[in-house]
Amino acid sequence: MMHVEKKRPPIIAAWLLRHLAFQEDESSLMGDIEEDYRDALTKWGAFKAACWYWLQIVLSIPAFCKSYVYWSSVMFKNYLKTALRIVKKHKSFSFINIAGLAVGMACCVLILMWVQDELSYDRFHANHKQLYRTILNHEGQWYTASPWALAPILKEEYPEVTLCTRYAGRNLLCAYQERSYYEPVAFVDPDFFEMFTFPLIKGNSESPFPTNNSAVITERTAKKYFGNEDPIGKVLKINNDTELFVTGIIKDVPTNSHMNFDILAPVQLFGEETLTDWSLGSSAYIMLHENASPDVFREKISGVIMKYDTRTKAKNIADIQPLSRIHLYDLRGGGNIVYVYIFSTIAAFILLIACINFMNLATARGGMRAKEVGMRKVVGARRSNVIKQFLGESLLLSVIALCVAIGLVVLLLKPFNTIAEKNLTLDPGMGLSILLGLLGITIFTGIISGSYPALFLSSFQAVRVIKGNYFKGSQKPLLRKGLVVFQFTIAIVLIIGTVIIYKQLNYIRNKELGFNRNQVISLRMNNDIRANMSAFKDEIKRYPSVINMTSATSQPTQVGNINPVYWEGRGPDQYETMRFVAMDVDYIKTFEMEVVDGRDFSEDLQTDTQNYIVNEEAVKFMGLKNPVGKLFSIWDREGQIIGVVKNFHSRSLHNDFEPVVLTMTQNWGHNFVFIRIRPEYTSRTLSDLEGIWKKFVPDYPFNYQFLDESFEALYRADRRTGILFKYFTILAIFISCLGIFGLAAFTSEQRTKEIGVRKVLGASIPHITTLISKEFMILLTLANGIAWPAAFFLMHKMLSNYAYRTEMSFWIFLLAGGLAYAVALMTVSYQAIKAARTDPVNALRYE
Amino acid sequence: MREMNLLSRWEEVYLLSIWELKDNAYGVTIKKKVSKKTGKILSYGGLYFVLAQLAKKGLVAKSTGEPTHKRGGRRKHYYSLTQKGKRALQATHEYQKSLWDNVTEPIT
Repeated sequence: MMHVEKKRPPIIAAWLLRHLAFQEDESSLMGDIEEDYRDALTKWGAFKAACWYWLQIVLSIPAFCKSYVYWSSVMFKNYLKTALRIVKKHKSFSFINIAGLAVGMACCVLILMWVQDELSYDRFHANHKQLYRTILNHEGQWYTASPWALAPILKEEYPEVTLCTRYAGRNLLCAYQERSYYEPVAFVDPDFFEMFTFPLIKGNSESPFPTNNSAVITERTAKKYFGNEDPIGKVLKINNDTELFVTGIIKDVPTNSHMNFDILAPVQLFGEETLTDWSLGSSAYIMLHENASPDVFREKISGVIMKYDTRTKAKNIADIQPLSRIHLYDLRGGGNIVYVYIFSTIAAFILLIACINFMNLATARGGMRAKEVGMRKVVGARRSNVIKQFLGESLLLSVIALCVAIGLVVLLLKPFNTIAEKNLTLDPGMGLSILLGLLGITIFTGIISGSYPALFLSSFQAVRVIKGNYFKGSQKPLLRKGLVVFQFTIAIVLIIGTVIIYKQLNYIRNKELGFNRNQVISLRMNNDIRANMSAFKDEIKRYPSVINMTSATSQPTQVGNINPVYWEGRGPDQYETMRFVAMDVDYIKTFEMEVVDGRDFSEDLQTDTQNYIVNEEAVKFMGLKNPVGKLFSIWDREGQIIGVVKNFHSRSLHNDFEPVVLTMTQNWGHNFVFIRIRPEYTSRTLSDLEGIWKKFVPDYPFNYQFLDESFEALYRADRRTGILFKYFTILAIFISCLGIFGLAAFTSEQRTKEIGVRKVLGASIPHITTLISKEFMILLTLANGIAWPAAFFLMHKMLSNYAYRTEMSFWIFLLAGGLAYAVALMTVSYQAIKAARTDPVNALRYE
Repeated sequence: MREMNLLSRWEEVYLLSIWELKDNAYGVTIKKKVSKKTGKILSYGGLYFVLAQLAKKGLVAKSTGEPTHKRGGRRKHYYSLTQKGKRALQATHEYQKSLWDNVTEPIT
């Protein structure tokens, strides 16, 4: 018998049984089996008894599963009931929690949609992984344009290139009968249709361009010009000189495409001479073979331009850029991907702030629920049960918040689209990733915000809690305080960021550009005006409200043309490159630039059409002591430098001053007419100018643009960021304030008795208000202390994107801090005053 | 007629077994008794699942006994009928009797 008593059941089986059995009955169940096992042992011997023991476990498994599901659902009902009761009982706390979470989640969802849209650019092309744009590096500067002749040579010489197309986008006047508008026209090679996924609705997919006078148009263009008529075979007149037959219709170009066109026409229309030229007149795209390695190919083609372009001997290194990177990555570094990162970070932070609210309120109110936890533990709950319960509770709240958040997103989508200049929609087919994202956000929020309260509350010891000796809510607030500091640090950094971005935008708007951009209108040049230029000019200049007029290749802020130049003391083989403007006389006068040395161009001197005026930066660049009178050439067009103008900004203020050459010639195709008008009677002047315009070119619409407006357009992306930043900041502050509002309410509730005693002893309302607010003010001071250096560092990095930047004055930091104080004080003092005003009798009687 | 919920056949067997076992109703004995009554092999998991549900319905009560060596030092849980359990058993019994009382002809 002793032998049997000592013998233990199989260890693994016993262990398994202990973990499978429903905990309440575990010990008696194991006891029963062991008793039976002992009997079996005496009857059958060790081996058979062990088998029997195992068999019992296997037979019990279905019942164990059943009982697990059964009891879980019983407890789940209980947890749900408790959670809903608590939500109902503490309405304001629940509101704060759910509202904060919902706003945070809505924000996250919007940003997620935005990010997804940004990342989806150009990925709708079936071949996008094999598609590349050719780019060019000239002495460290990147250019997205390619020589006309490059693409066909790549296809011919390199077997890796299966398809290639040039892409020359132009804004051209398109007319059908009386309808004429400027349309984005893209001139492409036939391979285009095979490379890119722009599905043809009508037309011959084998050869969409049967002749060189073909055009393929988008659906919306077809509707715009031809209404319900069949567009195929109709004639569109381009630029009033070329007739194109519509041979196909494609679907509208999706918004997430970096190419944007409404009409496609064969690039062959430019003529053989242009197409074999090495000037940078178009973009080019190639498709690599599936198995080709892009890195190896890059190596191979780097010298191809220098090999074939014998005219300039320019050090132009050819390179390629994957299609899907074009929208996101600027060749110079940065690009939209920066915004993707910035906004994703902000979204995460806002969600985190909302989670912190939840954690803070839940732990602060831990005392209230300590007794519940104690009771649960006494009747047999394990720590893991309590953790599960609280996690479940926070998940429930985050699911409720998600429903509210989806409602918010539906409401806010339209204004968000306006600000972000997107066309995002919330339809059921929006894709698995967003749905998964929503689910992910919900679970993440629930777990993050519930984890600390769950771990904290479940650690209560039943005995101490029941004895009344439990944690009182203000004994261990270090973490809670830390979280408040963290919230406000983020809010303050965001405020500082917003102010600095706005200040920078303002600075740019008012920056001296080296010329006067106000009251100048620009008109698009066309061949008919070009032919009648002198008569047109006379007529315009005679009009009393016109101060001056000129025409040129570009306006001073958008100088794009770059050409090889050399000057006195250098030969054609020692050339450098400079940006240049070809213009009519009076360019300098019309833009009110300042000539600092030499003279302006004169119409009376025939030789001036060969001469040049440079800016100060160019003088510095060339290192000339007395530039006036020196010889200077663009390509092989030799002339003299006759004057120097003060530096002006030739591109956006992201860039520094650059060397620029001005030359008075009609040869380089002026694209714009510029007219400076008097500020008075602007609208009458404009309608009269339109009259003159129509007299000369009745076929072209009078589409004018004020230069200061087009200047603003350069900073659209920056302004958009600013506006989005502003709203996110407001949200972050709102959620943070919700949090401290709740905390302050809690604190004053906890200290009801103390406040009552103080009031009885004669404390005034302001005194008590200060008492409660003080704690939060200390936290805010700490938050400022962390936020200022952090903001300084981040904004310093942001501003370094601009060549010209505003200062980060100290007042901005003070302002942000002050704003945070003011808002926090308002929320806290509301609670504090409420607490201070309660009748001490009620306060002291509350037990 | 139906003022009290009637027991299911399984519940009836369990409660009757516990009643018959008097003071010695714990896992091992209940399992044997129920097996004998029904002729089916029971698992301990299934046994305790039913017992826990009976306890939750308030039909049986649990009390702990002394730990023994034979049980690896674990206590027995003795089960006994509560008042509610007894009444339920009686009601079921009466109902069945009333059902059969009206059957005069033997079923062949």
